[in-house]
Amino acid sequence: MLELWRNCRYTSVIFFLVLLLVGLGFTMVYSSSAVWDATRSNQLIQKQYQAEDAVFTSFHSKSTSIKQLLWIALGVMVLCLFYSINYEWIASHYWLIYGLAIVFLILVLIPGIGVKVYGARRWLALGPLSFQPSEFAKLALIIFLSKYIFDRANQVNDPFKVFLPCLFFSTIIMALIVAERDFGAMAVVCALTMAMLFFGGVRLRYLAAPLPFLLVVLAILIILWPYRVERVFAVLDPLSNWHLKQSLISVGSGGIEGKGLGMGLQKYRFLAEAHTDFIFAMIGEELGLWGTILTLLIVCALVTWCLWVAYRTTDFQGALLASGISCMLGIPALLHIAVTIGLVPPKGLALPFVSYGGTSMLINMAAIGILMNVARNVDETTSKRAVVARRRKLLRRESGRRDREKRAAWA
Amino acid sequence: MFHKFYRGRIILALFLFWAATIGIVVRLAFLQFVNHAYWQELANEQQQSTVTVKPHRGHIYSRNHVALASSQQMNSLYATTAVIPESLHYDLAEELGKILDMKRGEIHKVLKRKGYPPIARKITLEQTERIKALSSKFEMHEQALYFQKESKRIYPFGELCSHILGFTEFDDLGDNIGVAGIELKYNEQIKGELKSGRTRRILGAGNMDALTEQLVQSAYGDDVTLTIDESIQDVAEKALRNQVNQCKAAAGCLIVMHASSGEILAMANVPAFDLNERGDSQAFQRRNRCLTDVIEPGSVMKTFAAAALLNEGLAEPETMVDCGNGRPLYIGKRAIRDAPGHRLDRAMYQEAFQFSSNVGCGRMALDFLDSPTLREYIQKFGFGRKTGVELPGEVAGNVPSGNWTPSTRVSVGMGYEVSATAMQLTSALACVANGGVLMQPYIVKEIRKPSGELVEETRPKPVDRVISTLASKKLLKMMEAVVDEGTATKAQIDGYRIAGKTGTAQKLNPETGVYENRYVASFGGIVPADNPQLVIYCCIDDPQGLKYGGDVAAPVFRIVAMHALKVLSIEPSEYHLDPELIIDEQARQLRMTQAADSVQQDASNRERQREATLAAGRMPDLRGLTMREVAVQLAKSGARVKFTGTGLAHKQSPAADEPLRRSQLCEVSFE
Repeated sequence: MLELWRNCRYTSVIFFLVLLLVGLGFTMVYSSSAVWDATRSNQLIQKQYQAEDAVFTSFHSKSTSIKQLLWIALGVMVLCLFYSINYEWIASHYWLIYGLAIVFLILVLIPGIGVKVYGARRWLALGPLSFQPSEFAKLALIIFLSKYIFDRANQVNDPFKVFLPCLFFSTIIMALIVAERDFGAMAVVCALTMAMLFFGGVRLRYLAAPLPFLLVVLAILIILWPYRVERVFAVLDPLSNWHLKQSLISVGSGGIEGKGLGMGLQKYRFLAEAHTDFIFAMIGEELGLWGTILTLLIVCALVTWCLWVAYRTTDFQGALLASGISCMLGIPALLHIAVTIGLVPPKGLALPFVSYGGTSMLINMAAIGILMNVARNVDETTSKRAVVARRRKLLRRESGRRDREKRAAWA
Repeated sequence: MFHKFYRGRIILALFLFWAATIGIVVRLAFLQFVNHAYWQELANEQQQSTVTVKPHRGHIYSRNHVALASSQQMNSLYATTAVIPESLHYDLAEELGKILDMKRGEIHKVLKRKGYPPIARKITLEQTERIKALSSKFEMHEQALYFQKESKRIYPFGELCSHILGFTEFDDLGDNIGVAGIELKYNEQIKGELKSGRTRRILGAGNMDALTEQLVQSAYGDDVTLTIDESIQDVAEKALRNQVNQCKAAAGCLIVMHASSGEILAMANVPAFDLNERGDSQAFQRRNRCLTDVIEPGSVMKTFAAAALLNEGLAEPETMVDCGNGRPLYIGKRAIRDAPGHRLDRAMYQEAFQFSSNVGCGRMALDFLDSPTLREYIQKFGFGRKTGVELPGEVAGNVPSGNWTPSTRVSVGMGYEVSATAMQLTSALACVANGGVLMQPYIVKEIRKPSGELVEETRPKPVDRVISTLASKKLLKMMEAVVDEGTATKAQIDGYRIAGKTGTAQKLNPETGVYENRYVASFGGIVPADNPQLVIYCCIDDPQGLKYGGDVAAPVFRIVAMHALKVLSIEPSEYHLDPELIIDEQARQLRMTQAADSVQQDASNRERQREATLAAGRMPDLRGLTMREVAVQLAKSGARVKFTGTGLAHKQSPAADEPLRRSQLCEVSFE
């Protein structure tokens, strides 16, 4: 038993924590989407959605939780697939992956291929399925940057070799994401780029350099879309923003014990997108303080364990990938939670593995698959090392005995 | 090498992550623990809404718990003409006309109007279902024909108790408001309070719970239980109507009162009206004459003069008085004469009373009484002020004011110059009957919430002791003689001792101030005289032909009293027990029932079966009965009834032969 644990302690813990999150997520999606599905069958409300977009409604014509279950099953398969592929082989195709991400992000902007929902083009229509390129872009960028930095590991201190090119490549992606008006995703990509450079060993003063530049970009964005200012300041006065207010009411009214699974009242169309962007608020309402802290603990444990894998691996490429992927899960998770409890201006961000969403589920599962592949190396090396150490100890003991015998013989 | 570098940064990132997590936990603790109440308040504000429902009016029950008035949920039908295509108008009007029993043209006209015109009111639930089916058949918009709930007042017995119950009308708000009788007097209680409840809502899509439905089902006003016995009331009304018709009289009224408590067991008026079709009735039919009409009571008033004399010890029944043998009694220029017929010379006061001799009784008042004493007694008996019975519209009557001349004294002693309502007379007679205590008459026994909780209960309330028990005994004996061999021999009932006094008052023409040749015939009876239980007062206004109270009113008393004695199971007086007479009476009744049986053999067989089932504590088969019959049947078991629909009973719950508890709610629907 102990042997087994030693052989796979990194991979198995990650897998277990992901399953826990997925289970919790499915429960909450089931609870919230029941109302979502039921009210959509109401004639009056249906008309409203028909006006939104005919294609979108067709995606949502089936029960949300059943679809989520399908995505989970598919996601576990994807996880197994990526777990069995060597991450170095994947990383070696980094240009191809980066190129694909760019192509998808451009495709989504083309009317007819990209689907517009709530004023933002974020989905690619693939027959009956939809695909969110920005999710893919995140993982693609992490793979790309890890390989790019790894290849130039001895030149990290030269800003023209590592820092600026990396910034350039990620800015292209950010620009494309901004073009589809996905500001949440943009913020995440920005943070991920910084994190990759940070873990890659770029000097901290370089990392600080683009901050004034970022501020200027932010200012321009605010001038271009002044209504976002309101959102930003909504944090100071939570009751002025409908979504934020509803989210806070959900979490706050949950109390310590929560109202019980399925007993939440905010999902009755008060809390919009209760099964995606505000699922943490649902957890807060139905499971209470215990539920939110438990969720937070699971997320925290998962990210810690992922970073620990990055810490323990001997391969710099693997370490970069692992730390990047931990950030890819950890940063949106923290941001999602911070949005729902009013610490950060509201934006649409899913809680990885918990929120409903096909693309993000598959991409996150793929990312965990890659990470587990890295962890597998760590497991193997650590267990090998342990075997060697044990053997050495035995040998030493053996040789010591022999020495004593010899000495005795000599004497 | 590189890894010196990044490992430190990973640890740094880890700490940053944990710091953020701790920050979030702190914020969560604030939201969910410290400020939980504040957010819960905000949540309640938006997640719940208040639903308010107007209650149905409560029931009015008789003393045996038979519903005399109840409420039924009905719908009104409205049209949203904007969404009904014109091509449908003809067919729709045709079909609706069939369901609603209306003319096609009428509906067609309504459909042409703009807005939301009402098509029909008070349609039954069954019609509602058919219209809904029609609506989907024509594939119309959901709101093209829509319904609004309203509550309709139904009176299962129609004419019975019409003057007591009163009726309701729709006010400006569409509420049923009592406008007469008990419905008016206890409007607030019967109407009930607005029921409201909190329900969870779905934003923009209405309420989650069917709370409105539940409230509508359960919302009732308070139930009023009367002291009226519906069976006595029924007989009283019928007997009075027959007599009024036979005498071609203008009107009549009758009150049955329990002597010792003041409970009113029946209060009948003729002419009457049907509560369910009150639209056809006139104001004179709706008046509760027992309370609103004053009469000069005539000779019945001699009772109270006699009470004064006996109680003051000024005279005894055996006191001799000169009745003039046909000669009138002169007071100044005024001559008081006896009615032609029986002549008395010098006789005992009792005899003068027995034959209602004006001269004899007048002389007694003139010689033995002084005006203040008489006035005191008249007022103590309750004349000249309202009795305070719980019905609206009561008048006080009139007792002459100022100093009474001897002429006034004599007049008042004979029931003239004083006006009183039938209610006052009944209550004063009850005082004589029960040993001299004037009781507050009452008609409302109790008021209960729909849950059964008691709100108000009336208990017998003595007002004043007017005469001593001894005086009352003596007076009763004098009154008994009136029935036994005096003016009211037609009031006799085999087996019972009866006390009473007739009255035949000439009517005063209010315009000319002259007494005309028109009369009010009345009779007040107390039964049984040896153990007074019931007081029945009957007066008939302006009978043609026979005019004497003993001829006109006493027979009505007899019928009502016989029935009441049977219903209330009052034992016959031992003194009068004459087996032969009783057997005769029983044989006569048997013959009558047999005759009825032969006509309705089947019906009565079923009836008997029902009664047997009821007696066994099971639910009888009620199919084919009218609402009224159902009410009577179930009242015997003490069960409560909820009516739906009109016509003959066709469905019932609990089903036939199922056990029936006392005060269980039975639902019976009619078709």
